[in-house]
Amino acid sequence: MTMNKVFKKLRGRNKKQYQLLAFCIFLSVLLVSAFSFMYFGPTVQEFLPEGGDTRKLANLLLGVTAAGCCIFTVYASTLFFRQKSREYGIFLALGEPKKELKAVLFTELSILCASTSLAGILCGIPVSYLIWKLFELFLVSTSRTGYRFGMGGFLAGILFALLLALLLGVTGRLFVSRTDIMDILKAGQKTETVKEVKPYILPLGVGLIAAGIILGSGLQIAAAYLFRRLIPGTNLFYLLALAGIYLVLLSAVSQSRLGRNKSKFYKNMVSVSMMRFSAKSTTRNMCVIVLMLFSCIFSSFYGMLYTTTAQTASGGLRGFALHYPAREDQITQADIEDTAKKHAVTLKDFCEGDGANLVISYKATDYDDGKYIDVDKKEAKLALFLSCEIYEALTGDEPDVPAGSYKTVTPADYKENIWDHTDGLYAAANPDTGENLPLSFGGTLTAGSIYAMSMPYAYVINDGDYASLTKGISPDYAEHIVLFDVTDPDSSYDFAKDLYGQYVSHAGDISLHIGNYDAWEERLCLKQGEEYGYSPKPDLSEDIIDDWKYGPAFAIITKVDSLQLLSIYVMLCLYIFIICLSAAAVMSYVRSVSIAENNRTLFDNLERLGADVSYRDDILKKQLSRIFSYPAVLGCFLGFVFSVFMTWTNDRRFTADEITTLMIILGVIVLVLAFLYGVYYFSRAAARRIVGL
Amino acid sequence: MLNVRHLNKTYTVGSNAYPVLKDLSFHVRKGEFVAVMGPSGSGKTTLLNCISCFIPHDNGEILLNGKDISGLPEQKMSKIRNRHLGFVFQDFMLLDGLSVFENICLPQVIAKRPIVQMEEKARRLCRLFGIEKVMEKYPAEISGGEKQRTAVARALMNQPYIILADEPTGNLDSRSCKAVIDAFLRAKEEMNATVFMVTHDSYAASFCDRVVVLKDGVIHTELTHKESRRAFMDELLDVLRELGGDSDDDE
Ligand SMILES: Nc1ncnc2c1ncn2[C@@H]1O[C@H](COP(=O)(O)OP(=O)(O)OP(=O)(O)O)[C@@H](O)[C@H]1O
Ligand SMILES: [Mg+2]
Repeated sequence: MTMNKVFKKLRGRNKKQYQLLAFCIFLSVLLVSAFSFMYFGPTVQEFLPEGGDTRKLANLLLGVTAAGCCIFTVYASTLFFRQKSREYGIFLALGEPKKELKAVLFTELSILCASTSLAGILCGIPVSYLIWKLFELFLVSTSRTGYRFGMGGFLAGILFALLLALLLGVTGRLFVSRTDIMDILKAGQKTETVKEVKPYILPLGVGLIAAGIILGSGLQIAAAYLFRRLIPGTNLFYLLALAGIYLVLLSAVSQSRLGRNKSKFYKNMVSVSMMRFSAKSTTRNMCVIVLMLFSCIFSSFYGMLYTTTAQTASGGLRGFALHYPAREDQITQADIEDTAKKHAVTLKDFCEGDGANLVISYKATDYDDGKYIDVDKKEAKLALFLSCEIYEALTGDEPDVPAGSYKTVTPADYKENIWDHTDGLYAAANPDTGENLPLSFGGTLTAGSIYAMSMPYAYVINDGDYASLTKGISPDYAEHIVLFDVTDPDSSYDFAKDLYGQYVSHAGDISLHIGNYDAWEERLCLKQGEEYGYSPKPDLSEDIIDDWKYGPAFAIITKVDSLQLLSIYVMLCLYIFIICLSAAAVMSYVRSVSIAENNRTLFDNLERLGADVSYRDDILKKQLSRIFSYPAVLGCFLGFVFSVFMTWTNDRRFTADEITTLMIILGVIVLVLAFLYGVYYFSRAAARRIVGL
Repeated sequence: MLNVRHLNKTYTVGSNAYPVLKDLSFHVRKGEFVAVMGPSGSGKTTLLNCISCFIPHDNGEILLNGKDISGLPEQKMSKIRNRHLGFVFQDFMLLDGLSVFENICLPQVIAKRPIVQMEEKARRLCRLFGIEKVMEKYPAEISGGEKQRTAVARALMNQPYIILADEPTGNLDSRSCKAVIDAFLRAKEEMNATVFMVTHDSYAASFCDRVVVLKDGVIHTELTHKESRRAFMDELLDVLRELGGDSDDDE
């Protein structure tokens, strides 16, 4: 009988402990590397704009997932070490040198980590592929959305596995260095000291959550609107809310006071007592689950948000809108009609007309030096002006604008943002003659297609005013506008693509400007000898030209193309959703099993005291259901509240679409809860087996 | 109160059978304090586990207050353990997460009895066994003797027909040991409790009314406490020495 044989035999006996740890390492590495294979793959990387919101979000959620996985693995390892402590104590007491034990422990750990991590990374490849394929079933799939494998994912997976190994190593070191024979033998024996939870914890926690949310988000908004100033770092206040969640859960899990309701106290006495030793670690665990579920709900909200913006993006006046410098030799009505015929598309509401770009003086809000300030922009830029006559011809609406006033064109359902004001304009001028005319605000008109043609707005003025302002203006400032619809928009994609191509090939140098380009601003800049920042030209050779001042607005193209882009976003969100949900499920399961393991003697004792099966089962059920329900309810609730909050702060109101989104989120929450119930059922069965019910 | 008739128990390990209890019969009367002694491996713990039906016996009868309790379904057995049997073990078996007071209440909490009487009774038992000062403490914070007295108080909570104790003084120093024995004696005097105790300790056994000595699964002798405690103890020591057992103690 050699020492090695002894260790081998013990390993055989304690297979369960090794299995749990191995499973946790495997699962964390699998989740993280499956995510990275997809996320760092070319398909996703090419789609996500550099430094964009979605990329930030994905990074954040990848971080949360990795952190969550680390936490539950390290947690499982402490369980592993604790169960080993008695064995080690006995070895130490019998004179086995600590060095030897350390060597054995670390060899075991390294082998376990290396093999399970490798398995996790390898399984990550098919898993990420399968999940991707699953989503492709539901979403628009084209050659651009195909799964492409990212080598970067390997690196991320390996780095994560190393990090995990390092963390486990540190935990193991702490365990061994703390190991003093007496401590270990005592820990192996059962009597543990109770740490009671103080009664003020609950109100404190509730207070912190409220304070965190109010300070974290409310302050931001209040500051923006009241003091017109951003306060940096207010996001840190959310940490207060997190601390609050921890305290609330802590008291919910382990507190019971002999208050007015005595019978309740005694009924719950035993199940509460189970938590008296592990309340803190259980609660930490639950907090992570709350975060996971929060990310889960929030990512589905984000995915939904993308989907609905895809639909609302097409809310213009006409499905097809063109505007370009009048001097440009563009496609004509005849060209358009020919193309329509070629594609068997029927045009309707076709109309065209000219507007003029005039120099505007207007009031707006600016952000400077950490402060919102009102600015008077005198003769600062150009904006598109239409005469009443032309506007009516284009839209069919009679604008009815008296002399000396103007009406501002907005899209349907428009809500003013903080920067631009529909009534901000107070004068317009002819850029060539300098002829200046003060104007007063006369209301708004609704025509999304025209609104999109000019910044900050397009304006409609009285025919007389228009004539006097445009007298002597050079044709450089004239803009030609074409609007039309087709009878069956959904089958007009090929037509639209064809037309788009023709439009691009007709576009000459004068049309080649990016969205923010303004000829007047450029003139002012050059006069002052400064460099003009918006002079770069758009690249017309690309498939989709993002930033083009005179880009055609064809709703059907935007819809189809953006849908494909969106499907990537949505897929990413769904992926994160799945990862977070499975992490939450695993963590809850591990918790339940370890609670059952830790309380095996308690259930033995209860049996001896004559507690029948149903009583013991009830106690177990109470405890486990708490572990599942609290974080589930809290996580989903917070995720939902945050989603509602985000929808509202976006533009300080709820549109019908947003309400639908929120309803769907509620549906998702129900599904998540149902899934967690399933996990609960499964965990409970496992726990029952452990405590011998 | 407790009547054991022709009890047989055989452990089977692999293909080998080890008979541990062989046709054992004895009787414990109400209010009697009986000890079981015997060398290690003679079957004392097995006997106790059979009586409490933690392990099934092969044949024979175990009558508690005249009713056979062997082979009852789980639910009924639980009820009997809760109402009619009290347990005290060597390793205390207190729930670490419950305070002394809560531990004592536990049997009635399990039985869902009315709270006011329950608390009243638990307090009375604490006073009776001198543990009212540690009532709010947790097992980790009290001495071994106090733990064992807590266990005795808990065992008495439902006024059981009989208290079964397996080496209740095994882990204790002599002073704590005396305190626990006093607790049993008090329970006997004030509550007319019946106690059936397995012990190695002839000092502890010398306080009993009667001692059953087991050897290899059969009753070797039965000794009754007649004269002084000292004399009874000497008598016990003689028998044990003659058995060549490993009785490990003097006063
Ligand atoms: N579960 C079991 N399976 C097989 N044999 C057992 C089992 N439990 C006990 N035995 C055997 O039964 C015999 C009696 O055991 P028991 O525990 O009743 O002795 P005891 O009198 O309580 O001893 P001690 O004084 O050391 O506690 C012993 O020989 C033991 O090896
Ligand atoms: Mg024994």
